[in-house]
Amino acid sequence: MHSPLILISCACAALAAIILIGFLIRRPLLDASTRTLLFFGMGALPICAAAAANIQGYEATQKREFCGSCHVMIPHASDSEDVKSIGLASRHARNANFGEKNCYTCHADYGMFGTVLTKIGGMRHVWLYYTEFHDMPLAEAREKIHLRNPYPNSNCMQCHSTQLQGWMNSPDHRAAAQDVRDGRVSCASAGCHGVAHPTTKTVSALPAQFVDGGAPVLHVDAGVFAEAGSEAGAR
Amino acid sequence: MKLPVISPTKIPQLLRIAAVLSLVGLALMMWSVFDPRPAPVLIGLSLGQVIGTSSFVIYLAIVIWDIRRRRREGSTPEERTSLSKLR
Repeated sequence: MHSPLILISCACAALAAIILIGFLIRRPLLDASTRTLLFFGMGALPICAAAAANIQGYEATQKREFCGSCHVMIPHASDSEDVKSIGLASRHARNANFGEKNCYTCHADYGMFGTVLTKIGGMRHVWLYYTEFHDMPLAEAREKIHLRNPYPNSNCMQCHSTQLQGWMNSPDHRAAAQDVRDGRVSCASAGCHGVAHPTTKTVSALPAQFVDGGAPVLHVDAGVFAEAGSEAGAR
Repeated sequence: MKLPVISPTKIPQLLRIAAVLSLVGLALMMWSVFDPRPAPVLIGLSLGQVIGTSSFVIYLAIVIWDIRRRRREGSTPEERTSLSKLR
């Protein structure tokens, strides 16, 4: 509620509503002053309200809270918010540059039309959610929902250029530098910096550091992923 | 260009419909602001704006229609206030 955009949008909408309701109740003569008032009530003020609501809506769609509002994304969002998680997403969410927009920052496409392409992709997600996944249990969704295309290293390389000496000091980086840059080796693979969202994986699919030594990544939604716990016990 | 046939007595009714549409559009947009989940945001920022734009288009159409009608019929002071006689 602290965003000035919300205040602007609300103020414009409230003023427009007062004008329009007054017009509907009082039914004044349609003279020049009434038409001017109606211009503000139906045109200028709603346009201001819509512009502010658009920007506010765009901001809202970048937040983790928005992504996690679909139940199938709750494990992803919960893991990101878990300060104890060692998942890649959570580690980035703890960085102030990502913060509450960590889903968008990592999954947004870059380039000239990156934002537009990301939003089109988001529309596809919404469509699929309401047509296929809305009533799907989380355990089933975890099996069925996956990235449409492999996660592009180019998204990581927006921040991690792979050119600095510190990055090249790592022998693994040096050995796979070209493959990483070309996208043939994923930064987020389990053997490197992944997995990104450990709560979305079955325990058998997790690397040892997520399971051994009591790493707390699976305590999120433990009830939902009860079968994952029994799997862990058997391991 | 030929003017569409709009009965002057229909104008207040059309404006009231436009006002109601505008209120509905505003309500949908405010819903998206206060409940930023996918469905409200999509509905508010698409359907809400289509409805709001429609109401403004109706308003503009009426005003433009009235201006052109006055120009065509001549602008005596009586005719200039033609709409103002309507409620």
